[in-house]
Amino acid sequence: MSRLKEMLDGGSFAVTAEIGPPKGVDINRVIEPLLPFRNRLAAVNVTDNQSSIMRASSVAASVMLMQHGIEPVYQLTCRDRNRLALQSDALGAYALGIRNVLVLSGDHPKVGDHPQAKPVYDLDSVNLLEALDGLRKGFDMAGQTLTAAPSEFLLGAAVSPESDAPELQLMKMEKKVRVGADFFQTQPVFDVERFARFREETASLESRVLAGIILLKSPAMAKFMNENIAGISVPQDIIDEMASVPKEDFYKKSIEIAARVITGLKGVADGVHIMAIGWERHIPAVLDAAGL
Amino acid sequence: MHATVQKKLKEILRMLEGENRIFIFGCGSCATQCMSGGRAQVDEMSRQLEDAGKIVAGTHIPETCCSQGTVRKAVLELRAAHVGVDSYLVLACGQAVHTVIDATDGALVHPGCDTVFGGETHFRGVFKEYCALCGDCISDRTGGLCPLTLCSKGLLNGPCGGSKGGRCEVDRQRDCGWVLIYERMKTLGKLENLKEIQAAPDRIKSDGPRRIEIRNGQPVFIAGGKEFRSSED
Ligand code: SF4
Ligand code: SF4
Repeated sequence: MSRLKEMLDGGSFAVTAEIGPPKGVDINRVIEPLLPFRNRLAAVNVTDNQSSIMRASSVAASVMLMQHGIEPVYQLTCRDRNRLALQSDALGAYALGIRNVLVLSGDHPKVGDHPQAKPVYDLDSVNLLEALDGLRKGFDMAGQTLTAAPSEFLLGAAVSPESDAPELQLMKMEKKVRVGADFFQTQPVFDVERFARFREETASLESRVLAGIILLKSPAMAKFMNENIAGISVPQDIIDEMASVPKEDFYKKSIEIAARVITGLKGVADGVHIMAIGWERHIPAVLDAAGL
Repeated sequence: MHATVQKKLKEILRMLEGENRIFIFGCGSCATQCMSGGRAQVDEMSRQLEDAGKIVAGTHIPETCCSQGTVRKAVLELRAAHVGVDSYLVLACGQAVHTVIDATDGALVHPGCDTVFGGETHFRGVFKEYCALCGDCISDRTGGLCPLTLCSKGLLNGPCGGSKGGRCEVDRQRDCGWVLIYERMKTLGKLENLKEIQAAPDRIKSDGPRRIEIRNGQPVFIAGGKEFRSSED
């Protein structure tokens, strides 16, 4: 059984982090910063050509994480593979020891570095979750019986609690639960009360949700995300708080804000998913300050 | 309609390299509306080819350039103009390119346009794509708005995480198809319908090249090696 599943089932507050494989073969380079505190993490997500930028494969980086004693959350997007490739990669990943899969639509190729590529999207994230749930039960999408089923897959999905189209988000989240999603990871959360309302609205789904935490690097980054990234809204008072300290102290403020949000999320979320984007070395300080 | 955009002259001249006597076809229907192959564009192309040292053996704008009967008749009527032609330039859609190959029994034919989508004439001068010609229409489930076409990823079960301010992640000037669908279903009082899980689409009916044949007065649609009839259960 996956450690993440054990923690979620046992009601412990799970902490996950995230790595993006590099555009190259030096995958160890992105894993090394996590090694000093790997025991404090339930699992680590491995992105799949994140932002549609071509990088080393998420299954390879997931296996390399395991070689370092870190449990991966293998991300699988619908952008680059049709239903044959998706099922086949999922089976291969399981055979290699991967248990946690996070299913995403995937950013459109037009926003990445190969905009000429054919966008696949043969399945959407709901269809893919359903397909993986089928594999788990021993059948492929064509109804054929598997010789051995990936019965211990733990299926994850994404949701944006702060989306500006909340009804649609909730509708899709509900579908994801119905087809077999076991847990969710969210876009970055800053407003704990709003997140608590989201949990109340979705309480009937009885799903496990790891709230997204992003380490803000500067007030400018916060403003940029508000203007450009869907599903993220950094409240003005947090931007002001960041701006109130000198530049060299941004990281300290960032740790303080993240820890405060995480503390507020205890009892509200089932855990947190920390997106440090280059500031992995500060994760232990965040966990210390949040009492984890 | 088949929306088309004329290729750049440079590209057309490259295709016609080494060929001297050219016959130009336009189209009185879609390409006329899109101003890619109507009378004015065909005449202008004629002038440009002559300026480039070509001989324009003739031009013709059939009512529809994608109907083999119509085009074959035109070729026969203007037989003299077709004698000794090196190649044809078609200022119409990709269907018309093949129609001219058929109607001339295999002549060398060049596409003078890019065929960009099957569209609705929104109003005079504006054409928009609302259907991706998938072969298996599911738009009834989304209030007649096609998620395969209006959503950049063709997602059937709701929006991706990239929708922001009602706009799509691919192009923030463009509406997110799923927000449009949501608003429409709300107006229709049918939001509940969106909660239904849409299974992975069966794409057999989009497997080209597709055909329709009328047999014994009944249309038969053929795609992906299978035959489909409306009259079947
Ligand atoms: S579902 Fe298929 S046939 Fe219907 S509008 Fe969309 S692309 Fe066209
Ligand atoms: S933003 Fe909207 S239209 Fe664009 S890909 Fe996502 S769901 Fe589809």
